[in-house]
Amino acid sequence: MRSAGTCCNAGGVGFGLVVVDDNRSFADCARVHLERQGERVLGVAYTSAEALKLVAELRPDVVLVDMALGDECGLDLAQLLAQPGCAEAPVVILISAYSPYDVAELIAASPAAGFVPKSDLSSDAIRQIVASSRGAAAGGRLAWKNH
Amino acid sequence: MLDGLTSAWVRQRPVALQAAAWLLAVVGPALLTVAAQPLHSALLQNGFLFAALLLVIAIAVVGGTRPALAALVLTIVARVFFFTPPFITNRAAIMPPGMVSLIGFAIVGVAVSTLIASFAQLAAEQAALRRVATLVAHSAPAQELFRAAIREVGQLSGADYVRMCRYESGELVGVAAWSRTAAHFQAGGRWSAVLGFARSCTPARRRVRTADMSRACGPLAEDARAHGIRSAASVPIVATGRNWGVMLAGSTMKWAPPSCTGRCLTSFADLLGAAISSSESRAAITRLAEEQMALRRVATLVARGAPPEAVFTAVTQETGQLLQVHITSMVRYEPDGTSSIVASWGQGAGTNLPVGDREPLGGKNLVTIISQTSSPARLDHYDGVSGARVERLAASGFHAAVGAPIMVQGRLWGAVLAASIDRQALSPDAEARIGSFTDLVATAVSNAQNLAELTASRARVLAAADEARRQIERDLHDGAQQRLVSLSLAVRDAQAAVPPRSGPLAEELASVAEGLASVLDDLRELARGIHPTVLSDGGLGPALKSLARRSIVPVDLDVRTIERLPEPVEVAAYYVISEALTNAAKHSNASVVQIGADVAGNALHLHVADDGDGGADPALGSGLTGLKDRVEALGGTIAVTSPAGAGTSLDADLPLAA
Repeated sequence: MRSAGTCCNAGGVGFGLVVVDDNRSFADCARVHLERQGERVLGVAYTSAEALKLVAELRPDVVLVDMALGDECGLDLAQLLAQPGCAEAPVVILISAYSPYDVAELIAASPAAGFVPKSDLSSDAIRQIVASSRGAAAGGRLAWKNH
Repeated sequence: MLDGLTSAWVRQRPVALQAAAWLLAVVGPALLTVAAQPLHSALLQNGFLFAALLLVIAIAVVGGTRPALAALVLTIVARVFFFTPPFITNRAAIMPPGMVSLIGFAIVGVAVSTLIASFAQLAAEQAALRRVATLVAHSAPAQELFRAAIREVGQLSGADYVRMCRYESGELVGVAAWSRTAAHFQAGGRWSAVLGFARSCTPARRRVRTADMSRACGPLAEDARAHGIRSAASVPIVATGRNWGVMLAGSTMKWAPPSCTGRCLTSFADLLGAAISSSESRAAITRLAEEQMALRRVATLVARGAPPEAVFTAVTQETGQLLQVHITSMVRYEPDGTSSIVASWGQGAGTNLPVGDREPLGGKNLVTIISQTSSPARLDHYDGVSGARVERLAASGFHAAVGAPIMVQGRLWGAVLAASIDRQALSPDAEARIGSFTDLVATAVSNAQNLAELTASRARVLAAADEARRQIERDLHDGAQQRLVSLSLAVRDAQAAVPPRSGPLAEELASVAEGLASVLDDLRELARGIHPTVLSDGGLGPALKSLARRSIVPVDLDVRTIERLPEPVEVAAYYVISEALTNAAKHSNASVVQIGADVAGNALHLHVADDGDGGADPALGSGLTGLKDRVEALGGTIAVTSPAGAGTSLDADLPLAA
């Protein structure tokens, strides 16, 4: 039932989002920003533990994870959340105040679906990544079926 | 003077000369008498006495005192008997012997012949002394010198037996012996020197002692008696102000040795004493020079900053060779109450104490004694020693040991020890001689400790600076950067909220957004320069990839290490590669730079090579100096080679464990 819902969301109403960032002011700011752009922000988590709990409860379509989670590492959380091959796994998108230029190697090494700089955070950027991620995932599944 | 006449010990001349002198003593007066028979005048009679005197002198020169006296007596007898009736018939020729001239002749004859014999003896002595002195001057070996000296003494003094002995810890040790008859005297041997006529005396009371062997006591006298010696004279040999030994001359005859024997003994004892003194001082100088050279070799090692282990090994070897002992070792006192061997040297295989061997302190052994006293110590014998090492040495035949402490900055650090199989080999100044080396060891250890402390302190300073930069970067990121990012989102929201066609407001908002983005970019640039986040978050692999991606000169990257390394190593490696890439871009005209990073043997090996112009002076770049400091602070090494026209390559080794 959940996956069906996810499929429907791809149409237009807006994704179910969870924002994970230790910087509360930005997290709140991002919530407002994305909601104004028509996304549904299901929850905001400030730590890895909170994030895992929220994701399990709310089953969002997309999780935005800050790369620098205070003393914790956003990349590790992304690793936990993004389980490639699992249909129920949310699309994990890394966000950061760094430019992609500075962290390209870290993004490449992460299983996250993509990266959006915090300054360029927008509904469109998220949708683009989700779309390409889904496409890749669908391609992957097809390829698997052809075996 | 009359000693010469009565002596049983007259100078021994060749038998042929002796025989000729006696023949002349008998035939000479007879011929003179026959020749003078036809002479009648008193004048010619006196001429006869004059000729006889010349004859006596000649005989004295050739054969010594005794044949000369014989000739003298014969001449007087001939003069008294043959120039009086019935032998003389010619009355006119009969003349009463001139008593005055006869007495004068006798006195002059005796005096002249004795003098001549004495002069001849003196001349012979001087010649003999000169021969021995020549040997001394040519630094002849001691044995050869001693043998030559006692042979000369024997031949000059007419002794049957001459022996030379050395005092050694209360004993007389034979060093040379000579015998007139046969070489059945053993040169060597040991006798007590406490008692007996050859007992040691103070150098100040040096004099010739004579002894009647039938009454003399002491083991040496018994030895002499056993060889038929009935009288003897001895004189001490004094060298460098102490009683070195004694020279003895003995005769099978019972008469006391004459003064010429004493004079002869004294002259030779003086000469030998001087020779021994000079050879001892020469030996002392040689020894001092050898010690100085050995010290200099070790000091050079220390000054060059050689590893302490190399200094330890050199010190055990040099002390072993200098002290002429059989084994030396250096121990370090460990904090856990044990001593460990840090270096050892041995003359024979199998006697070596293995480096690294640990033993708890305790028991009767030098290592323990020095640990308690912090002073030099020695064990003159290994009786009753305890402890595994010393018992092992005792079982291998070692007898005695000496050692000195190594004090580093006033605290006992270790000790240098020497053990010998031969008890005599441990000279009284052995501790002092070891001590001059332990000072050098202390300096080496102290230097190494200071260097290690300095390196550690440099590493701490760098680590603190790195940490501060990291913190600044983080603060920038968490503070200003985040707020700017939030602000730019808010501005976007505001932009979205502005109704379309609102003119200047939209433009203003757009310009604010643009300004914010530009400030964010500047800030990111600044933060990146302060500390690369990719390094702290991703490790060296991603950080080097990031450097390679941003490099102006294309990079061929080969990173074989994926695990995280200690942070100081990662930071140092990052800056090394970063600086190398910057230099390559600025100066080399290279078309590609190869970068290798590999962990092997508990060290990170970095290799950077470009195909550019080369010819870079490794000493010039201040950036490189900074890198050298950084690498060396971690105990690593860095080397740049840049031959003109063959590119520049850099190799750095960074130990993973400090």
